[in-house]
This record gives sequence, structure tokens and C-alpha cells, in this order.
Amino acid sequence: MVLERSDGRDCWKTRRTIINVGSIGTAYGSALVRRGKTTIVCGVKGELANSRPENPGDGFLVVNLDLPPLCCPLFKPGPPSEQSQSISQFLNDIVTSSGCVVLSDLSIEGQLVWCLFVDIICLEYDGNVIDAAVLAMLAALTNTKLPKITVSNDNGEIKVSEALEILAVKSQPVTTTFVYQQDGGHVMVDPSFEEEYDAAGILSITLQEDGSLVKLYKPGGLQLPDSVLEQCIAKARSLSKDMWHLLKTVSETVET
Amino acid sequence: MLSDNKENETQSIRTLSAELSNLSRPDGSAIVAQGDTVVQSAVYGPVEVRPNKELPDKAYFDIVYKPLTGLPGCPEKLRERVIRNTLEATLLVNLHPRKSINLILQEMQNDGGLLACCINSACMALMDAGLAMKCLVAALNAVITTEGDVLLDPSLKQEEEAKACFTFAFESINHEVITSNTQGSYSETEFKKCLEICRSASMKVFDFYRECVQRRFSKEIDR
Amino acid sequence: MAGLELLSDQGFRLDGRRPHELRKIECRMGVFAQADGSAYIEQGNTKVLAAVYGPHEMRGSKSRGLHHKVLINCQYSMATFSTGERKRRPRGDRKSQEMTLHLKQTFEAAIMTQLYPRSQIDIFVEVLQADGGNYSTCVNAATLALVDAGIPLKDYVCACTTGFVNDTPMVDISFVEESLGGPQLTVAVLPKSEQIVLLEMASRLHVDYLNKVLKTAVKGCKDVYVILDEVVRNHVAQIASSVGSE
Repeated sequence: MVLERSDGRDCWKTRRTIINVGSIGTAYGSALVRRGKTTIVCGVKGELANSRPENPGDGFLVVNLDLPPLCCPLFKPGPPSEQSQSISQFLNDIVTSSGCVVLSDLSIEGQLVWCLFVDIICLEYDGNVIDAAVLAMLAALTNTKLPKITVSNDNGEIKVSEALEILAVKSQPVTTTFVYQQDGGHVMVDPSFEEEYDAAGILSITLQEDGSLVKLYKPGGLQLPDSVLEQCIAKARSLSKDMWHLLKTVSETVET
Repeated sequence: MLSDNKENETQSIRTLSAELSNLSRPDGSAIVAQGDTVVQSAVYGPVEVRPNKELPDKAYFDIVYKPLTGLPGCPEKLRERVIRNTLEATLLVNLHPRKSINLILQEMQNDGGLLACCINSACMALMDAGLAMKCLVAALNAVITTEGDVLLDPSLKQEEEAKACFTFAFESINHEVITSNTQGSYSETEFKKCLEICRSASMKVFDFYRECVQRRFSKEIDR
Repeated sequence: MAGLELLSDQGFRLDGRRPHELRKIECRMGVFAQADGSAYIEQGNTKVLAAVYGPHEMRGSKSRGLHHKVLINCQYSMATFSTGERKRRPRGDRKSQEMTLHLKQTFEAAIMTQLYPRSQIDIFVEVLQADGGNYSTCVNAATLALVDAGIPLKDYVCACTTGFVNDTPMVDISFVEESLGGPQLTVAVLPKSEQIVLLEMASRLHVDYLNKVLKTAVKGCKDVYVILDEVVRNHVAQIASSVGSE
């Protein structure tokens, strides 16, 4: 029996993904991702800072997700909601766990390091912000060009040159999110807003190109048998391949 | 610390100890120590709920996690979310519509496996408050060292030096996974191995819960 | 500053425009499904998104509701990566609060508020890239979003920021022109009646020049109106044809 969801997809099909890079001129790197109706924009800005004494030569990379009230009537104006804070932490965990940006690469000279701020804003919320945010973050980082910094030896003067160098991104951890309903049976990939709202639980699997898992995030919810976990990991593997291909195509089009 | 029976050494969990109802004001409280990691939790519920948080068909389950030092930030919010979703799945919230169940967790000491200890402490406090639950939850922490060995219930130092960290929470009926949170990168086989090791160790935690409750109530009858 | 002339001898500005020319405006309506009305505008390099929710029931304290008209709730937010220097606080800082208040006052004058008593209309504006004329672009975006939401307006609200260099008023100034100093006048008008809804100027300008600058600014707003009106008509025609063909 083939189950059809409310938008006509089958359980293992993701929505159409569109990635657009470099649209924000004021940021060093930017990306706009549209997955179905969920729209996420990401901008990378950099500032110079002094590294911490306990980790000399290590730069900083801070990811922050904002869910403003304009994206969905559920979000009220005010301080960041618990959902945006927990997704921000999830994104930071992915960056540290996967080592996609090595912090020592961000060092310039001596104590001086780059502090990169990856700011992600959700413009329209139609479920599954996590996957789209991860894609936006990766697309923006791979297309980030930082100006070359030189420190003159005599007076320590910092010079920012016009030349830009591309940030080295070592791997692309891609996330696939599944939801499942109360009866524990029907697992669906890439939930829409209604599917996410009614779900009994959520499962996010993050994979890297070399096949290793970066984060298997199942924050409570109804229990899942091991067989379902394994099935989801296998499906995530095949679906992530499409995403890696998409990211690669985007990078290549930008270079040409 | 090496021993001849290395396999057995890694399968054991640190000493578990708990005291139920150690606070007098909350409806339920528990202080749980897993080795040197100590977490105090307190439950108030079912109590009156704020009108804007009222839910017509179930109780509003709210969690506050307080770290030892500093103000709660993003990592604390993620922890709150994981703990809340884990316990909400086990509580029979439909029994108390238009009410609120508040759980407060205070980190007392952290020597590794903090998230697991929080979940265990929260579960014991909810039991102590007498709230109806579908099943119990036992959470455990495991790491994979840089050499590729699996260490169960590591200390903070072992956690920091590890290649990957796993926290799993299991339910008591079918021992299926309720929660999974990981750090670091690992392969699928390593994941499955840690899952199995944590699952078999979770039986010990469930036995400990039973023992705790037995001891508490047998004392009351003796009085 | 040597080499950077706001107005060259031939009468060209830094980006090659003439003093009375607006930047290239590109806009789209109905970009989001969640919001009741939405619009995206690009005025040169300034990119702004607006979303409108409403009219709906009062959220938060019911005591804030007005018995004879609708409550307009605005929020002006700038993305942290929108400006040259990373903006630490996207909203809540003094400048954003001032912009929010200006937006609220502007639209309270333009929306037919007496039609929806004890209700609320939310207008959210997000600046994705700031390159001068932020407030004006926000007003234009919000107007389109309100039209998309089907909220009755007395007239379009079109805004424009005008500078003044070498006795010549320059319409729709960019960030570079803004930061090089000189007086700046921001005006929002109802184009058909030429009524001024908001006028702001926080620099020194001799009163003799005021009329000249104001006239040019209003003319600039009317040019914006022509563009916005065309976009709205095209959008409505598109929707009508797709509905009619069913």
C-alpha cells in the first residue's frame, strides 16, 4: 500500500529544493534556500578578534538561527523562542562535530583570528527548518570569500586587502529530518508545517560524504524500534546524495 | 584504568545513588548521583496553569534547567527541549487537561553524562510526585575513544577527549529508543554497538528505580 | 574627500544617475503563503521584505485594543548581515524602534482603521540588504504587502529619501551618498492627493531651499507610485486570469 501525503508526495520523497548563493552583497557569503515553501536566508559576516588563551590560533564560528514573527503567525515578537535557540545549538553542534570548518584555518597571525558569524533567518516557515537551515549554512560557507588580512611587522597595523580568498570547508554534513505519527508506523521525510505539528516525534540524521554519521538527533517523542532507525539511516544516505550533488552544482555554477 | 577484563570494565556504569522526596515543598523531588555527576530535580504538578499556556486536552508540561554557573543559553535550551520531549512522551498528560506540570532541574555537579543524569533524575522526581506514566525512562551515556573503544558512562575528562559522545534514553516496556543525542562523527556500526551496550546497561538503571521505590515504601509501612 | 564627487560637473551622480532619477525598482507581491499579504522590493541594492498578518483578533493584552479603530503593530528588523558592519541587535535598538514608530504612524494615516475596531494588523518588515533609503523602501514594501493582504487603504503610500548637493536635490540616495553627509529629507506621501504622511529631516537645510527639495521629493514619490501601481495591476491581472480559467 503506497501512502500519499496531503501534498501528494509519498513518504520518502522530499520537496523541491532551490539554492541560490551570493545574493546579499554586504555579507562575505550568503545563500537562499527554498524547500517547498520553507524559505531560509543565510549570511556570513566576519570580524577580527583575539583568540582565547586556552586555544591559541583557533578562530570562532558562531551560528545563529532567527525565527522572526514574519515567518509564521505562531511566533510572537520578543526574545528568541526555545525552538530557535535549540536549533541554533543543533547547528553549532553539527559544525563542531563534523569539523566542516577547522577553527585553526581561521587564524591570521599570532593572536589575531577571524570570528565568523553565520546568521540564518527563516523567511517562511512551512516545516522542516532544520534541513533547510543546514543547507543554507553549507551553501553560504562554501561560497564565503574573506578578505586577505596582513599585519605589518613594524607597527602591528592591520591591513585589509581587496583580494578575497575562499573559506576552506572540509566536509558537507547534510541533515535529513523524518517525522512519525502516533501509531508509530508511518515515517515521513521532510515534513510540512501540518505534519510537523501533529507528529508524535521527530528524527534528524546528519551524514557526511564519507558515510560517517555526525548527529543522530531524536529529542524524545514516541519510542522507535531499532529497525525503523536503521531504515531511516539508509534512506537518509540516499537522500543526502541528491543534496551533495545540488550543493556541488551550485558551487560550480558560481565559479563559472 | 586498565584491567585484564577490559570488556567487562567498559560495560559497568558508575555508582548510582538517589534520594527521593529530599525537598519538602515540591510535590515530588529527587537528587540523583551517577558517579560524581549530581542533578537535583523538583516537580510541581498538576497545578494551575497560566491562561495563555492552557491546553484544552492535556496538561502543559514545562521544564526549566538551571546550569551551575552562568545564565541559561542555547546549549541549555537544547537540553531542556530534549528532556521535555523525552518525559512528555512517557507522562499521561491527557489525564490533567487545563493544568500544568512544572519540572525544575538544577545541575549540582558535572562529571560527565550530564544529560543522562538529568533525564534519570527527572524520571525519579515524576515517580516521586505520583504522576501517572506510561513507562519509565532510563538514560545512559557512552563515548567512543580516539582508539575506537567504547566506554560506558564516562567521566567528564573521558568525554572531552573522546571522538564521539552518545546519550540514549530507553523506555521500560520494550526497551526501544526514546531519545538519542550525539556529538562528534562516527560510523553506523559504532552507533549500533554503543546503542546495544547502553541498552543492556539500562536494565540496571530500571532495576535501581524499582529498588529505590521498594526501599522507600517498605520504610513507610514499618513506621 | 578627493575623488568622490556626489554630483559631477556633467550632472551625473556616483552611480551614473541623474539627480531626478530613481534607482532600479524590482518588486514581487504574494511571495509567502503563510502571511496574509507579502511583498519583496529591491530598490537598487536595498532589499526589503514585508509581511502583513491581519486583521485578526487582538493578541496579548486585550486592554490594548481600541474600541473605534484597528491597532497597527509594526516591527522593523534589520538582518545582522544587511549592513557593512555586522549589526549586533537586529531589533530593539533605538534606531529600529524609531523606524518602527514611524512606520506605525505612517500606516495609521493610510489604512482605513475605522473598519476593524478591536482588531489588530501586524506589519513585519525585514531588511535583507541595506544600501540607503531603508525607511523609504520599507514603506513601499509594506504598501504592496497591505495591498496583497486586501486591507483597505485610502491611497498607496510612497516614500522617498532626497539629498541636497550643490543646490541640486538628488532623489533616492544610496548608502554612500547618505554617509558623505549633507542634508537628507525623507518624505512619505499619498500620491493622488499629494498629502504628506510623514516628513523627516535631521540635518541642516536653509529654509529657502526647503520648498525646492520637498517638491523634488514628492515628484520622486509619484514616480515610485507609477511603478508600484503597475506591479499591483499586473499581479491582480495574473491572479484574475488564473482564477478565471478554472
